[in-house]
Amino acid sequence: MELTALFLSRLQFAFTVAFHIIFPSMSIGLAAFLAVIELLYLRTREELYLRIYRFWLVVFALGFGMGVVTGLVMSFQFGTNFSRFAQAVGPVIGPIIGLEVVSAFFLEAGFLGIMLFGWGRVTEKMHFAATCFVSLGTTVSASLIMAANSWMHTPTGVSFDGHRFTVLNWWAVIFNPCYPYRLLHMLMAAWITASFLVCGISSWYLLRRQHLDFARRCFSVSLIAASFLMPLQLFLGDVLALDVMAPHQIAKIEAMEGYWDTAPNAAWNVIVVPDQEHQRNRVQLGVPYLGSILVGKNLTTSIPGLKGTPRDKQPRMWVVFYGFRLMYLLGTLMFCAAVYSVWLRWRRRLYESRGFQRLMVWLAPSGFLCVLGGWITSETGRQPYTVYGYLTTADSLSPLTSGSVITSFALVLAVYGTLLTSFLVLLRRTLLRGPVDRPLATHPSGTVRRVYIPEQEGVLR
Amino acid sequence: MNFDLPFLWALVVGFALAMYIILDGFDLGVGILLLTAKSETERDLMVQSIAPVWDGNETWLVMVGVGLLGGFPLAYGILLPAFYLPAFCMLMCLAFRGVSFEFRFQAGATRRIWDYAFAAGSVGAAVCQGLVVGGMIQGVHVANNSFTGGALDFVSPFSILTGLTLPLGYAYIGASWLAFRTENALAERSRGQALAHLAAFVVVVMAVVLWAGREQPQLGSGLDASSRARGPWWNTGLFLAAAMASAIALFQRAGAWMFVTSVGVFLVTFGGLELALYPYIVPFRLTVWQAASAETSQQFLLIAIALLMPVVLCYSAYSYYVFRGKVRTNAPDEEPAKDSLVKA
Repeated sequence: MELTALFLSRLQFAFTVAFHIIFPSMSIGLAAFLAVIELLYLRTREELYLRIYRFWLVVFALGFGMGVVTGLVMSFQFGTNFSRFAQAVGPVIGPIIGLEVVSAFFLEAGFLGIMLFGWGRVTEKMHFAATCFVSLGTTVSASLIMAANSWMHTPTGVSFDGHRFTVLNWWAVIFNPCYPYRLLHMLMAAWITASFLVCGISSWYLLRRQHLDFARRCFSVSLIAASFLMPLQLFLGDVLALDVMAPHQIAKIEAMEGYWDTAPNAAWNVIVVPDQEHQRNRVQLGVPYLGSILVGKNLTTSIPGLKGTPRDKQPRMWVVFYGFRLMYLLGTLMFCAAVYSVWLRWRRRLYESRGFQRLMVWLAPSGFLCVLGGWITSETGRQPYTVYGYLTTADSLSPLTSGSVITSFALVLAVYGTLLTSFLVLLRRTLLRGPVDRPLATHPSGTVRRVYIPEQEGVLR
Repeated sequence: MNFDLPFLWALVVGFALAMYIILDGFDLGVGILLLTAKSETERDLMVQSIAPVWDGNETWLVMVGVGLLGGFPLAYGILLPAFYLPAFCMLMCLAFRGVSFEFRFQAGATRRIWDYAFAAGSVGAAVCQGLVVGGMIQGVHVANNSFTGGALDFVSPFSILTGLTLPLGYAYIGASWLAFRTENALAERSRGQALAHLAAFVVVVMAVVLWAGREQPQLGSGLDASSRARGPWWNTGLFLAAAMASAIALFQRAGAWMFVTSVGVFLVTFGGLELALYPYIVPFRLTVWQAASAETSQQFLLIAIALLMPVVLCYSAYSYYVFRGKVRTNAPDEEPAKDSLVKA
């Protein structure tokens, strides 16, 4: 592969955006979780909820910091690497992201300090309000960035003169055809991600027989959330792909299913080795008839092949195919785990099944992987366009030399690599230390140390 | 109703940029000064003084970027490729520094490393921003609404001088923030540092002003003839007066005034720079009107900003208010700190 500025810029953008999305997914989910836990504490006054809150607050803070700084990079990268995209699309997505900044980013930032360090400085109700505002901020932020991104998939409400988009109708821009579905899909993905993370970590404590009261409560609460969310998410994903995206981006669906020629009575491909040049698969392995069943809910429905799309408008099949397989297969496993947890709860064996707990430890990062798989499907599947049907990725590029992009990409890899390593080391340390098992002092202090290093807290007076 | 939308937009972006250099300015400055701290306790106090607010401060930079994207997409698409390398270096420095906030509290033995990362990131980000300021004054090559210069166009002796100016300025505003927010030995030393950095900052800014006139004859070309002749004198006079006021406040140990006057110095410096570049948004190539986005786009966000910005400012002020008062490591009712710095 030739290292052109286009290829390198795309790689750099893909890397930074994939790295970024991990952390907002976690923050959106954990912020909602923390708000629920604090509400439960204020309602029941059970001290355990406070300890749960404090523990997950630290994990939340670590991830939130990563999300903020990698997000900052994103807000400039449209201009640095895809300046012609920015100039064309700025009038449309600029105001939407601007609205995100003034309505969501400032809200998160303004109340994050109080959420992290304000316990004891403000009243309990005010602190709860701060948690809710931060959670609201993360959700509003997701809502607006999803509007901007969805518009790029199904652009409506604009006119294009070859250089710049002009907005004709803001309502049509924001509520573009795929927006409501994709937003809900992403929000549920974030909640599910947090549920499986919380569940995985608490099962790890259960297996080690540590912090048992803490671990059981987290395990139970997170599995309740997962049991409600997983079936809805599977249903929603099905509607999104087949009813919402298919009419607009059939090429994505064709690449997802791994067929070149339209296939009746189709198998559901598990492994394909596509040969894009000759428009065929070198290897193709699948479960007979399952493809037709999943797509058409009967045995005979034809699955459209990628040859139906002109060659120069085709996405790379293998990326889209395996991105989707990652999300779909792992999502199905998560669904089964959620269903099994309901069975265990019904038989009152939820905390006893060691095998299930072991599975849940392994599934702790599954939400993140699904999010990545889903985004790979979504964003590589709309290639060669950035704004579908209007602006190609190649026409979006900045006037850059590949030398510049190699420099910046090397810098990004070094910095992000260090950040991720440190994040994981610190997360591990936080998990090993675990939640505090003794009651916490809750008198006023407001110093930073007390929030972050709970084991140095004074005992309850 | 007929508003001059591009001009209003320029005010919005200018306001966000001013907020950024003041607010992130002082926390970048605290990061730079972290290198001079004498003990772990001092470093804790310094970081603690900015920990609850840094995220909000940095959000103003996002506001600047997105304000350009939405309001002046042509300028956004020219300036960022033009300053590709310093922009990326700055973002990576800010990334490092941002996470070291969260990480240092968790990192037991490696806390020192995160403090250095924090300091290095702060210095690096400030230098990169200074380089961009120098590059802006020099002007950028543009053809067909696209950047046509080279990747290293911004590098020159002049931009290196401006690259030194910003870290000095940030260290100065950071030191006056610490003088205001901390107590005892740390506050006293910060006061001294603020004075020293103020003196250096004044010297360097004057050098930049003198040099800039030779480097870029088009500065101030948007003003009429008489303001163009008198502007620099007025501005310099105002700058020196603000610096004098700040020095007096620092000598008098005037509490919050030490910080407030340093904000004044920053505002005057920033205002002078903006007037010299006005009406260009891509220096000496595109004016704010030429680079402006379509009316529908500017309207949309201006309405949102008019409605939401007052609320944003209120709760941001509230979050500063919650963490008012001198920073201390331990609450008064806890074990007394080992360090004499902290009142038991």
